[in-house]
Amino acid sequence: MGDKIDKLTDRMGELKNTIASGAKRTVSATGAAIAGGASATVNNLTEGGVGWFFLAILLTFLDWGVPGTSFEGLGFKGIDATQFFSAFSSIPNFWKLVIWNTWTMAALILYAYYLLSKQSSREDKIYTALLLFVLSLIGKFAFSFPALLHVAFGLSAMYWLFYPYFGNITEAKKVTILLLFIDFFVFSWISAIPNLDWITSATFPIWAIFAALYTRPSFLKKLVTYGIILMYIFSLPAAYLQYKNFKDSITEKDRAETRKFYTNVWTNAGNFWGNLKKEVTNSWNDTRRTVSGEDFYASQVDTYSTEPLGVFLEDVEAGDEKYQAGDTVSIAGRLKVSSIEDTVTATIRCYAKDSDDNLTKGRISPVKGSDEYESTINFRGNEEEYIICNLDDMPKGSYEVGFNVTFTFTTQGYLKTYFMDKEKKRAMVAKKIDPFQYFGITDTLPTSIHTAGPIELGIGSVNTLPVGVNTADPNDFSASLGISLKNLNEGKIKKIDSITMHIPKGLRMDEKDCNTKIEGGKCTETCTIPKSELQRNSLQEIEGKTFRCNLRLDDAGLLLGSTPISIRYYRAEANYTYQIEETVAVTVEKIEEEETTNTTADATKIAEGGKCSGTEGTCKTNCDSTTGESKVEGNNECANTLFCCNRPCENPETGQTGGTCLTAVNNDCPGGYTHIGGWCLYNERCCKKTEATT
Amino acid sequence: MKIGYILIIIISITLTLSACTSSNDNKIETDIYKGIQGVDVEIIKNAPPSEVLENQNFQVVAKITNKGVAQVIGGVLKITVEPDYISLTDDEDIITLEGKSDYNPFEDVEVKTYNLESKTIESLSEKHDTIILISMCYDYTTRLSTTVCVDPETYNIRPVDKVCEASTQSFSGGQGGPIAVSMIEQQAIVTNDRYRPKFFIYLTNVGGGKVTEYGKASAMCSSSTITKEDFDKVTLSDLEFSDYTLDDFDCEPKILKFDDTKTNRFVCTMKEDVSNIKSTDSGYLTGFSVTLDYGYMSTQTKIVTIQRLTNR
Repeated sequence: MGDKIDKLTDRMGELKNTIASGAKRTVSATGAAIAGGASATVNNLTEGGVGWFFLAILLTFLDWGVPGTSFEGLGFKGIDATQFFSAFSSIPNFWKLVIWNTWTMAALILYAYYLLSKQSSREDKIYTALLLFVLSLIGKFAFSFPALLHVAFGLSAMYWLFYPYFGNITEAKKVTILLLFIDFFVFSWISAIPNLDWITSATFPIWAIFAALYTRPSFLKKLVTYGIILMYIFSLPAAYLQYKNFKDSITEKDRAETRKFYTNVWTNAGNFWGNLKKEVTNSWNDTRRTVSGEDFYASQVDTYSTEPLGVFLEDVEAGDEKYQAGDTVSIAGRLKVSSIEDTVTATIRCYAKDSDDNLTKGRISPVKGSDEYESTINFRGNEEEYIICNLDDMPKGSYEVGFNVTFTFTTQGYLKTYFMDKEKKRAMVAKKIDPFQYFGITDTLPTSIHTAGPIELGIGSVNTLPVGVNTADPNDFSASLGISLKNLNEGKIKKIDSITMHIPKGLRMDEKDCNTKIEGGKCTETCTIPKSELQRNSLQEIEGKTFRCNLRLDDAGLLLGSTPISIRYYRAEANYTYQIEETVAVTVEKIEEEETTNTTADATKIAEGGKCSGTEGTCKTNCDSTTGESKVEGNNECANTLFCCNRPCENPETGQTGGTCLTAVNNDCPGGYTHIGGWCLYNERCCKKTEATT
Repeated sequence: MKIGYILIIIISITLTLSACTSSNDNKIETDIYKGIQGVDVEIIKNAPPSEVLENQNFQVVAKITNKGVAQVIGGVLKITVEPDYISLTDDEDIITLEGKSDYNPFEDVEVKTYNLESKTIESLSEKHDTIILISMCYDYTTRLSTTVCVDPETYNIRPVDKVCEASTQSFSGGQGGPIAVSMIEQQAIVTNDRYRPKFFIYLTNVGGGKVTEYGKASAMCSSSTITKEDFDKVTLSDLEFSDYTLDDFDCEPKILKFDDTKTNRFVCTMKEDVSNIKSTDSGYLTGFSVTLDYGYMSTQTKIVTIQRLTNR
């Protein structure tokens, strides 16, 4: 028994060497070269004792509490994975949030100090940067006392446990990064899976396990190692039962949610560099505008917007990647509208662009109106439409086939501001009294807020708040108002239809004080920029524009009211026409005679609205979730090879369409079918027959 | 028989007396001159509610309690809203509240109700957070009464047992007002065989609100103009020491510029020509009181979320 456990201990030793990428071997062979002059010193380092294991166990108890006592632990949870990844993908001010924060700045300063003060290998520079990056993320997303304890333990272990063990600080950093990553990230990811919340740092105390692995050989170390092994051996039946319960208890919904979560994580991670690049570009453009004197007023999306508003083209796919010359090339997609306006009107066109940029118009389905090449659809609220584009008799060549959707949209914004009697403000400033603190106001630097949509509508004012109002002299007044529009999405602003500004009662806007014309020359309360002015300032090319005015005081009493501080709002509304495009690559090949008949017969046609046409039979609905077969007798799959749900999702009970098609990468299609990128909630997978079987 | 009557009488008297319990158990022992608050404004729970729909009538209910001993006359209760999102008809009330006294140790309470109506929010917004400020501005008075030791024999030359010795007194828990006397330090000055006490009266703002000059508080709760001189002023309106009054003392400053970040104190020295306490007199304890006048303001805030009513 003892020999077997010794062998197991040896195997664990092998494991730790594997994790550390053969660090010891590296050290013995190239350690001197990497660590330079430090190599002599590191060899004299004393390896950590088994006390590290007990410290790590203590950390675990601090996290989770002591069973049977009233101490319930400090509640260390690591980084919330959802929050973390959403920060990487969907927050417009990502640049400011992740990069321009104190922790990143501190990490950069430390890194600069490290580079200046130490001669180190390229590898060490990379891992030091990575370690500081992980620490800055922890600081930003999980700063708390328990998190500090974990970081302190990790860094201490790095210097006094891993470093003496490897004799190489780079290897110690690698292990520390790995452990911090597992500790702060991996456990929280796993906890997002339903019924797997028992996999935690309590059941897998990684710090304790690694502490046991990397301490110097001793009898106590062996004892601890045996203890860990025995604990897991005895836990196996319980773990099996837990796993069985987990397997039995998970529902289709759990699976769908888990899939959705990880798809989001995957998509967000995939968008990381794209978003970073975009935010850096935006940040640079904002800086450039400021430097060039072109003020630009930033804004934040209304936090109460639960979903993005706008018109979106999703799941645009070709029926096939390759077509034969003369075929009808077909692409399909979902046009999704999310709006709280009465009506959103979208005009859909489609086209194929060849390598010489020649355009061929396609037929749009569903046809709304008399023109089959253009379909105008009115959407109300949150609706979606499955759209298809057919291009007949396409000659051989490579094409970009896509939809072009133009729609009208509205973005609203507002900015809170404060006014108070100028003398009162002056008196308070002289007495070093903060008026906001005095009146119990916490929102001291209000941010411009705009509704979600493809345009950022920023409202700004350069005045120090609260704005002082001289009740005796209306000319002694200074307040400005600026409106900025910025394209946020990939699409284009085709034209601005109108911009309306609302200013507080008691103020007046005069076009003599503005960098734009005003309808009627001057205005109070509601001010409009004339259409001619908006079309002169084509936003399509410059991707953003600022309109700015100085305001005049008309009636101080009206502006201040009877309250000691008056809270007022500037508001603006922009109506505009926006265009989005989504394309797919399609290749049309030369006709091969012998295949002509079959190909024509099996030509992939897209089922319209999920119904097969002519003699193609009925598209299967209500499919079984595991076999993929229809539960309804006599249903045939379409001759066009569509299986189940290459169409909007449908509730098999109510027949109502419009369910959410999950975009998880799902390979659960039955044999002979491949997944085409969607997964309905109602057990219908978006599958089609693979080419081999057709 | 007589013994029987006597027994009955004794038992009756015993039972009657036993029905009387010691009054000490239910005695309300309240020191009305303790406390760190003047007027307290409490926004009643769910009035306003934390969420309202657009165009919904709702109420703000404020409970105003005078927790101190001074009377409040002409205090102003002001409600500030964002008029773009909330309308109200009457935003101000004049408050008069009795202070606690030995005869009426209970707090005087007034409840004010304001009727508000939420307005329509931006057509593309789901919700909007709006702030409601309730400010109370009032003039108030703090009075400290204590005993101090008159100890003319400053240098302890005579070998006699003293009745008392002059010492520094600290006061915690306030005196039933937001400005509290936290400490009184005493020094003795002897000139021409006359003993003149010098008092250092230290003040602290313990109420959490802001101080204004007495008589100017109501202006703080309105849009009207005030100057920097109107802020942070505490007036020593009265001082009594034995038979001496404020006029018998030279006090510096006359009106204290109160600063939360610094030591705030009055220094009052008895005038040279008024003292009739000989330096050879024996020490004795005597009454000492100070009265401070000031304006005070405190604000309560409440965030109300206006929710969109329906799809437009």
